[in-house]
Amino acid sequence: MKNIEVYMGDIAVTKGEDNLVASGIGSCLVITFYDPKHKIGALAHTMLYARRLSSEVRSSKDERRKTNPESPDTKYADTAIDEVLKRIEALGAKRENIEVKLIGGANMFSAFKSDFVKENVTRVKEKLKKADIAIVGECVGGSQGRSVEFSVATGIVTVKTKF
Amino acid sequence: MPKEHVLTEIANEATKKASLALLKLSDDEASVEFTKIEVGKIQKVFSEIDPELIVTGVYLPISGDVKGASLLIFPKEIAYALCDVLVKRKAETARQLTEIDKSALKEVGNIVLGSLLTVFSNSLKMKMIEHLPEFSHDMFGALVDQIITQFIQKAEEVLTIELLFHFKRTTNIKGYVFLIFGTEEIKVLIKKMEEND
Repeated sequence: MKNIEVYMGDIAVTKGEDNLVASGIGSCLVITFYDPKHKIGALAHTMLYARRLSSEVRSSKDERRKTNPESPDTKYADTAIDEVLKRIEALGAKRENIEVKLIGGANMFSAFKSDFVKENVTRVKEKLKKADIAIVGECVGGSQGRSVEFSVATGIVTVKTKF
Repeated sequence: MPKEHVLTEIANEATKKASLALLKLSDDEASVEFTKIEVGKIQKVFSEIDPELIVTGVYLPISGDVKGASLLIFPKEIAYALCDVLVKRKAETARQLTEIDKSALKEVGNIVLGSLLTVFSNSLKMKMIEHLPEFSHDMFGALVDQIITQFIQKAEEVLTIELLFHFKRTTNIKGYVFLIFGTEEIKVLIKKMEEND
């Protein structure tokens, strides 16, 4: 068994005994996916729901990803969810078995409007509902940082705060 | 002039300015110097620090000719030591942050980040408006991810300045300043630095 750290903007998919870990989450939204029958799990460490539709300048990495379907931009929850579902179903997970948990979405500085964080959570829930995926737990909002450890062997998601 | 040279000059001048203000605030022999200054990729720089490290962070948004974010970070124990000095308590007294401690740390953030932005603004002849400081005390990863998220679609680089605070009453205190600007803003700033004679 090993711990796989999933950094900001990344996803990880595994089957078997590994733990998926995301440390020090603030406003980011972590989405865990689990098929208990097949012991297949995934974790998406997302930052925003979707790319903002505007003329604002994007990074060159964004531009490359935008035009490259082989490398989807998983820092956005909408593309991360699609990519995770594609990968876990390829491993044998069944859509009707998949259980999702949501963690994060805190507002660490009051200067930031918390609306975008709440909107991320709402839109993720809407997308999952449309995809017929059950949300079985959530630990979102507030103003505390969190760390997540997801045991794919048991399906247990442990959320830690420092206070 | 190479941008590294301009950055060094800016940091030198800003730390002198901050030292004078800290001297008044702490009523102690106080000074601040920078020990490292570098521009790096945001996610690489932040991934080098333990995301679960408990820190105090003072965040100062920037607007004006360039929009950005400035953040002063102290690891928890360092913040406690700094509070003991600022609030004039016996060393190693602080075990949790009181409202006075938080206010003192905010003021240090205001002084250090404000000095830096003022010198930046004057040197490059660009308007940089600093806003009210915000305070947070939690895991490093949690503090920075909200700031990164604000810029993620348009920023790749961060300017990091490592600072060393000297006080007569305690050992040297190390803190970090992060300045984050959008990709276009970084280009403008670098161009201005290279034009700076």
